[in-house]
Amino acid sequence: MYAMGVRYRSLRPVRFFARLGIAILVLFGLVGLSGCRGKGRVLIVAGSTSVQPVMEKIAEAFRKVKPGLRVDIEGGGSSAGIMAVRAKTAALGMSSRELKQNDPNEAQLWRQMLALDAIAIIVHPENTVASLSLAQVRDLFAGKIKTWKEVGGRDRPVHVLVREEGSGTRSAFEELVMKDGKHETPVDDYALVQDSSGGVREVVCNDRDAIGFASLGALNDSVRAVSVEGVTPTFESVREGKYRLVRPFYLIGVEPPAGDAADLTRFSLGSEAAVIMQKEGLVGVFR
Amino acid sequence: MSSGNVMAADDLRRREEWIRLALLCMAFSSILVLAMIILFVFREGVPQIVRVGIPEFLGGGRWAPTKGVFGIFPMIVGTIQVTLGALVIGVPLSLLSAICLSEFAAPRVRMVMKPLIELLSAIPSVVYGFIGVTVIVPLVRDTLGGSGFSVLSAALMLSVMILPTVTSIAYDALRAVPAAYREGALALGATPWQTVTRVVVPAARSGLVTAVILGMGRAMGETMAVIMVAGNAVVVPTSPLHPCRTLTSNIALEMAYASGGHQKALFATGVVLFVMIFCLNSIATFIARRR
Repeated sequence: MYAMGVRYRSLRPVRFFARLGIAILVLFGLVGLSGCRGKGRVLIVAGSTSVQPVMEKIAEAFRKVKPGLRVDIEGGGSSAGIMAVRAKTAALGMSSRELKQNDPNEAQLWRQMLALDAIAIIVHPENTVASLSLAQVRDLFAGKIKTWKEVGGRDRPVHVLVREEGSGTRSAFEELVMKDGKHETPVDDYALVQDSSGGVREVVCNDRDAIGFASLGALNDSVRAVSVEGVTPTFESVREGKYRLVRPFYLIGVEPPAGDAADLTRFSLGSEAAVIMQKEGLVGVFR
Repeated sequence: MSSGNVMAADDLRRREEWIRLALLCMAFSSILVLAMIILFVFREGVPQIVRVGIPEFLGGGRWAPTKGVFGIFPMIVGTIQVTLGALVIGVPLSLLSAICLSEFAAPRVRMVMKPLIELLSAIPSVVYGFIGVTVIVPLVRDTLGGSGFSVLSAALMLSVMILPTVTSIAYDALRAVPAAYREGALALGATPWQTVTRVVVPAARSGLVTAVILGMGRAMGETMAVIMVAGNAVVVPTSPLHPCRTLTSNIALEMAYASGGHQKALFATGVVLFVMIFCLNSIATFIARRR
């Protein structure tokens, strides 16, 4: 009979490598093809990494309304977003801070408030501490206050929980709580880190000595939000401007947007976007 | 044979070559993917290490990527501590159960136990993490103090996770020792325990070392479960009850919103991890070959 094994060996090196070359070319070709897609209209929105997650979800819903348009949401920070709209490299900017009215580069820009982002300080429901001052919250998270007794609670150690670096909630927290004027106190190195609001909530609801923070919309009955400077965070107290740990989310442009950018802005202020924003824990402005 | 058959044979040969080519494509596609991953990770990560400076990056004690401070020393220490902890608890357990299964257990016991231990490796790591959070963490918090999210909790959980890997490789290594060794020892009057400790285990040594090193790689690479129980604080732990962050956790924790230099620093963390795991695997292969 025919010995197939002999054929294996008879494939000479030159042909072998030629074929290997072809094989690799074909593979690269496939990889390359999958990378190319038809280029349609592109709308670039750039700026704050805090606004980015909610804007990405809004853009995803917007895609169903306008299938022909590609919306790219890019991070980089509020200042980078402002630079991008001024340089016309982005159609819209996202900012999670007020525009600086004394800076000529920012004062003249068009802006539309999207939502308010409130940070709640949360503890275990059985924790006896109901109210904290802003300075106390800062000292707790900086690791300067180490027992609950120092703020009127039981004689137990404090377990501090924070979000990971890069998270929008974390940067909001640092800005609103840890910053005192120009000086920013670093968060305690020994603070436990969780990578989601749900994670922080889960740990807090299982540990009586824990303290953490989360967006207002991410709370539920398993944890209790302490009042800060005498005000309990609720959607009402945020909207009325009483609760202080709040920052605004803005869409920004050099001038009022037109065309696709205007459509996206309108969509972001509509009812569908409001539902998305509430899910992300934001207080929408039109409610 | 008729001429028709020769034609068929020619056809067959040609087809055989095409099949061979197709298989070659498949084989190289997996290597290609690996090569591209390595290339990508290094291209993204190495420039960042160079920009930060190798001593600052590897030896720096502070990690504040959003403020431009990149030091991963606490995470390297955390990774090593958690891994060693898992080995200290897990390796004696695994090796002893491998010896028990291979040398002492009745065939029927072995038939039940071996698949059961291997089943442990089929449990998704997030399930281990969940058990860690709901059982180990509160246990450590209530009995030893601290927040419970600690090096100790992570090591305890990982020691169970590496059990199946180490046990089954060690078992195979012990079974590979020729029966004649055991028979010889027993014939010379050695007790079964002496046979195991003086003859079988030394003969299987290289395989056992490989088992431990592969278990080490598994412990080092575990991400999800460790994030859930280790607490993830960027500190050099000085007590087993302190929280810690491993290299893999660092990448998984922060990749979601990272951009720019922060993102590149996470790739750089991956490069460091890659080099560490690569060294481990090379040592394992080297020892296994020296048999």
